[in-house]
Amino acid sequence: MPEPPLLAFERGTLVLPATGWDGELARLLEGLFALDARTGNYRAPALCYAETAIRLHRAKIPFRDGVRRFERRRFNFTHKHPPRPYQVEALQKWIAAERRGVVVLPTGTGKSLLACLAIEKAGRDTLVIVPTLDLLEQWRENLKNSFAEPVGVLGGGRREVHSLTVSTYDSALPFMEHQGGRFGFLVADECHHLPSPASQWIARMSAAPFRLGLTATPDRADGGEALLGELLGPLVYARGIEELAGPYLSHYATRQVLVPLSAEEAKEYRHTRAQYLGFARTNDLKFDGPEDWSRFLATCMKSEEGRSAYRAYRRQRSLALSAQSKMEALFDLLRRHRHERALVFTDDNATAYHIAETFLLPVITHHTSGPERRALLDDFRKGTLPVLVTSRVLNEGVDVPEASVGIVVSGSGSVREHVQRLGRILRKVQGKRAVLYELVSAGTGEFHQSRRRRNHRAYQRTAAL
Amino acid sequence: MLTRELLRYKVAAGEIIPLLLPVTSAWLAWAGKALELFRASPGRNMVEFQEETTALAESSGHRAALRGFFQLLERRITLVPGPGEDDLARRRELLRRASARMREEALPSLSRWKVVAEQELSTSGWQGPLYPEIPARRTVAAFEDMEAGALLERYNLALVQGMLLHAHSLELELPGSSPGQLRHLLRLLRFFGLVFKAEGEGRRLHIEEITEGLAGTPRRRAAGLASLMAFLPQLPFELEARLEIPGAEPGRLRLDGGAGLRSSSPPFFDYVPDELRVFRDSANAALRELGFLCAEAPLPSGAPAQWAVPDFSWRAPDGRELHIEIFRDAAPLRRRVEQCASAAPARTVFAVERRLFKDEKQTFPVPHFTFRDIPAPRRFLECARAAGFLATASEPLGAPVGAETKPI
Repeated sequence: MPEPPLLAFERGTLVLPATGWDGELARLLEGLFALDARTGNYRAPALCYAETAIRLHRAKIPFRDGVRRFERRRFNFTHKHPPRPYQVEALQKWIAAERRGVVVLPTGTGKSLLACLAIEKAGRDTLVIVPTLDLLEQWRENLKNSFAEPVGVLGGGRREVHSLTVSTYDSALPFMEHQGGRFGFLVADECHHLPSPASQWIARMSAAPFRLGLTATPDRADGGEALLGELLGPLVYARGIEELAGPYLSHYATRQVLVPLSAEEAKEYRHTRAQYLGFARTNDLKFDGPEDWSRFLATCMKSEEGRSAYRAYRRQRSLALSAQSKMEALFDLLRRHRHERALVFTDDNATAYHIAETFLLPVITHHTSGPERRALLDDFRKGTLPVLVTSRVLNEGVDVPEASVGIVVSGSGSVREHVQRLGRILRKVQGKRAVLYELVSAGTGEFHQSRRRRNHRAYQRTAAL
Repeated sequence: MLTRELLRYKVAAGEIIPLLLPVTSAWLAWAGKALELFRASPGRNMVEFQEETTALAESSGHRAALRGFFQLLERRITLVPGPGEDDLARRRELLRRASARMREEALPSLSRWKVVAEQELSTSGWQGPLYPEIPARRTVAAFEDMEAGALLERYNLALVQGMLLHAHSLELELPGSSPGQLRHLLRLLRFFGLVFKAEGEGRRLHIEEITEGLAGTPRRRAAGLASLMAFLPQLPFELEARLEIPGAEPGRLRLDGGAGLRSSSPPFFDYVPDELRVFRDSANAALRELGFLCAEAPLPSGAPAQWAVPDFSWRAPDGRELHIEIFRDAAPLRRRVEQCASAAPARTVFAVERRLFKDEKQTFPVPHFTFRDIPAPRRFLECARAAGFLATASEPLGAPVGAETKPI
């Protein structure tokens, strides 16, 4: 009797020998595997491991499994508080979807606890992937305190692999290429990052049959969220900020603060805006979607007139986002909330540093070193530094429950970014009432940008000041 | 490599032709101007300096080429280091005090606060900007100089590297390359996970489906292609690539030694992972009586027209050679062992990860040695001696650890 075929793992793919492929095996695995002419074998992304194994088992076709290197585990999750009803509901939905899927819950509602419950239920070697080093540390602490297990870390210069391991997206990518069969359960935190061109290969090269994606904001500007179903499973559960504010999140309000441009700023704004819009009209360029933007950029780079139009575009945007009166408004807000903890968000580093130097405030950007960043966050939590200025690096993930005031000095038109920024100040603390301010230059394109980013149910309470 | 917006090429009849810069007096003069600017950069603010380079590029009439020069030259700049630990601690203290004042004092206006901020800064004795570490504020400390001709060579190579990043498949002909050069090239392809098919004694290589994802991660592929292009000018080569550059018609890129590309890239041997390099250096230190062979001929594998590529080779004074091949995945190891089963080369040491021991009875039917991961040189020596290679122990080897050095 011939030896059963070997299902092997090779560089993030499944490989089956071509021998014996004709007949039932070919029919059974059609659509999953393709002939790799380079090696003469059949190949599929490691993502297809669960489906392949199930089909072969169901058809009672014996095979040697050279992919699976994960084990069944008994993880005992010790949690201080019982799970909340929506966490139990989300867990049940995920289990019902064959332990695959994406759960959408706002920041501060216990996605980590849900993941720990799922880890216990999955009972397989587990890899948690996170987008930043801050989150890596948070998850390592969380898992260490939740399970009586050593926790491995991939990222930030460390490379220890255990049954429970946390990794950054960046470190998981090369790891999966060779160790894609090592984990049976893949948890992707902030999983809206996963569909990016590079990161999606983490999920594709992983053979994990069980998968869980966690995010507060699944939508992506490039429409990549459509890939999440393929990479992690279907959307199994979703609750919004507005549904959980009160019992599980802090009560909150959002305020739009309209500020005027100075006479000089307004004059320059009108001039530069007319210049770039004129160029766009002459070249029949529109601004309806991401592709239009790429076309605008490409056209601008082809001539001196275009480059000048692009500079005009940048200048008018900068005038709107960094208007001088925003500094006055920011000062008023900081003074009004001077006994609270506040996060100040900007769209770019230059504005963040300008604010930090004007008000003598600490700033965290991607230029801030790891130790300084930890020290500043520590001081913020203690209250010795009650205000932190940041551009985008604190938009998501970082746990600062003490923050109750958010001030968006400038931002993009992204709903996701705006919701994530709101989420920073909503973590439930007894007696906390959170407020998010948005400073907007009146009569500029920023007003429309603001309207776009507030196109979310969480912003129905907005009132202009 | 150059970034996409700086790639200069023309498309004609399905051919994508890179606009390489000829070594003419005009281009040497432009390269010289760019270098002069950079030679004068130390001590200058980075942003101001970049404004100047931009102005030169815009006014030159060769905007893309000069921006390409600047992109390459900026990588040779070192910036003045940011604040040290003491400075950071002082700044944090200053911020704490300022925060306390903002909290306690009833400040009527922003202008009043600015006065307070000035007072705090002067009391603390803080000099210069509060955040000097941001690149826009940093000054250039040094520039690593080069000749104008070398800059043109570097530019041409970077241009082709940037174009190759958009390759879907590659065909390489390497007529007349030495076995040592081939070995380096194959090691490079293996290291970067580029899947290739070799024909004609390894001198014709097909690298396919580069962007389809079956050949490693995108970042590694990019690094692999850049390294490949840096390596190729060091040997006779012909290259044909199918390119899909966004915004341009798909087409073929053909290059050979006649294109005049030059590379000063060190041999690929310098790119081996740290753990292998450490092993090589330690083994060299331990095997002082043997000579290290950096570029040796591939070993006959046992199968017709196939050969093995050892990772390291040493030669004893009596002329015998000691080779080591290191495997980290089961599949290639299994294939190699199958080859050896039919015609085992003499004195081969297999270094194998512990996890591959699982089915050792099936996998290792030949009498060699296994190691856990990259072997310690000490164990490598033990095995070399046990195999009768070293007559005497030239180094104190310490106690053997049976669990990790496992003859099978």
